[in-house]
Amino acid sequence: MTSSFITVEQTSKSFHKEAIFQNLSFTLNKGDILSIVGPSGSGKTTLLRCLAGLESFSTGTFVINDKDVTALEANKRPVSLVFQHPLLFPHMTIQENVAYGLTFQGRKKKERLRLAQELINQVGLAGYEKSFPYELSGGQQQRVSLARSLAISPDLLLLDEPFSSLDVRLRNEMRTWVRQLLKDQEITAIFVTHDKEEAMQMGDYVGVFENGQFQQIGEPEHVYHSPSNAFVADFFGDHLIVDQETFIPVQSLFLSKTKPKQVASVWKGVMKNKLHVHGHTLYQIFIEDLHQHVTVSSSIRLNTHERIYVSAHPDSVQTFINSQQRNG
Amino acid sequence: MNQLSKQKKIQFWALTLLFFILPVVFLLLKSTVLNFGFGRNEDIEFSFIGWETLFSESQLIHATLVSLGIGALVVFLNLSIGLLAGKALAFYSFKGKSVIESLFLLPLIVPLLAIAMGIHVAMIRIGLSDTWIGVVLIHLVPTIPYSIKMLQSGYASIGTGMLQQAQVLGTNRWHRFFSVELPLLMPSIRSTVFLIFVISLSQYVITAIIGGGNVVTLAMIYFPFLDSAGSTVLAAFSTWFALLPILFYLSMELLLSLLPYQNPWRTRL
Repeated sequence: MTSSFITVEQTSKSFHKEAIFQNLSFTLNKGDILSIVGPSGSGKTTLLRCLAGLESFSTGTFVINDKDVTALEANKRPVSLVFQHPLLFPHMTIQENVAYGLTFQGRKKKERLRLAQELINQVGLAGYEKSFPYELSGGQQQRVSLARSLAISPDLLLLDEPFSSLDVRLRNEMRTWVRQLLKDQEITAIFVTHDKEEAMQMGDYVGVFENGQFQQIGEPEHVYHSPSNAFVADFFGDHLIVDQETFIPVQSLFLSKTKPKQVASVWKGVMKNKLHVHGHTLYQIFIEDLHQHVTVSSSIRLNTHERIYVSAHPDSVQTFINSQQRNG
Repeated sequence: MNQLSKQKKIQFWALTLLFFILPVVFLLLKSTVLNFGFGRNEDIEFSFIGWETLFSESQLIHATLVSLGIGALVVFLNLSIGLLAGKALAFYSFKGKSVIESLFLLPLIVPLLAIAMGIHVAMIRIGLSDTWIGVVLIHLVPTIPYSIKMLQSGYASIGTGMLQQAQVLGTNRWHRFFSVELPLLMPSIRSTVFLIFVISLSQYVITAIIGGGNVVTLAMIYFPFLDSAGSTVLAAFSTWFALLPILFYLSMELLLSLLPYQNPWRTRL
């Protein structure tokens, strides 16, 4: 177990006897990026704050590189946290901001400034060293914030929805760019988000978090195609959840205006919305019997509020991993 | 510059001139011109007699130094208490917080004289009456509530995020305090220092009660002047009185500029 770079074992956190998360365990190898995705209020930010040392775990141990850091204060942990907002120090220049954490690493001023300059170049802000934070745009500020956290060479970098205050286009650019930067520098990172696309794009692994538990951890593709339970299927996948045990992958669903014959699974639906993505037409269909929305790609032309049949071949019905384990 | 901002600038300087600069200029003139007034046909007569009379007052320099010393100590104690209490009130939630907040404001609600009379008895018992320490302590009563409130809002405007960010970057408590908290609190600290010093400087009654005539501050010799001296002398005294907080403020500003990460010509908070 201790061979992993990061080991979180049986950790719990409660506030005033109310459990935020319980018996949480996971491991990460050096250079891995784990995305934690979950709805608001699922406790993922609290987990991140506990890992950063801003809150303490109620129980459990947290080991980084064979060193138990559970009892260490935030400023003594080899962990850095990038917050949702850039939180740059307004009275310091960009260079001073980036070099700030290095003051406590026993480095000489010249070296601190050299390191800061290197990072500023890496985040593509050369020429802004002497600028003040208010002179930068939101995206640039967040890049400085990232550079500042990377400057102290943390063993573990935590990112708490760092792109949520940016506009969609910039957010997309930043995702690709940050992931590349983390990979280039082999930085072990945990990335928290409520956006499943962002989680998939950023993480080598994805942990779907709900009710203070990881509902499932795995590679994004695996979690997407083989959800462990109905919550994961609903939150992370685009599947049609038939019941608490089974689901139908969205790519196996097809739409028709007339009721198809020789197909076992047919539901009546109403077309609610039409989207055009990457050259495909997607219809958002509400299926009354299952009380669910499902978004299906189709070449037939539909109007809003038009009644439609959603069907799937019986072979395409799959069982959730947890249910398989229980039954098997 | 567009028309609107130009107009606003003119308005700003007009108001500043009228309410802040003219009174001071008037005071300075008054202290050096003997026959000041409207409707006189005589030639204006300049004289330093007012200032000479003022400096002939034997206790002036001593009283000024005592006032400065007491004021500086009161400001220092205010900042120490205000920073701690303000931070606690801004960042922590605990049972009875609102009760404590209103308790902190009580000295402003209960008449100062009543407090001073009560405390005087206690101070006589413990031997603090007639001493400058006693005067410093009684000056805390009308000042502490202001500094707690001002620094509390200062901390609230920084927010916990900024300080936690500094913490996760690996800095210890003291470094955080000097490199992030104090520089960001500068606007609140400036107002606190100025206000507290002026309040302390102008205390007459409570200084007289607790100091018992032994502790002679500037206010103690200023008030008797009101009756006896001529208006030129009084204007000179008032100018002298007003110079003190300005000098104190400037030296505080010099001290604050020693903090790390000061870019006096560029910082915008």
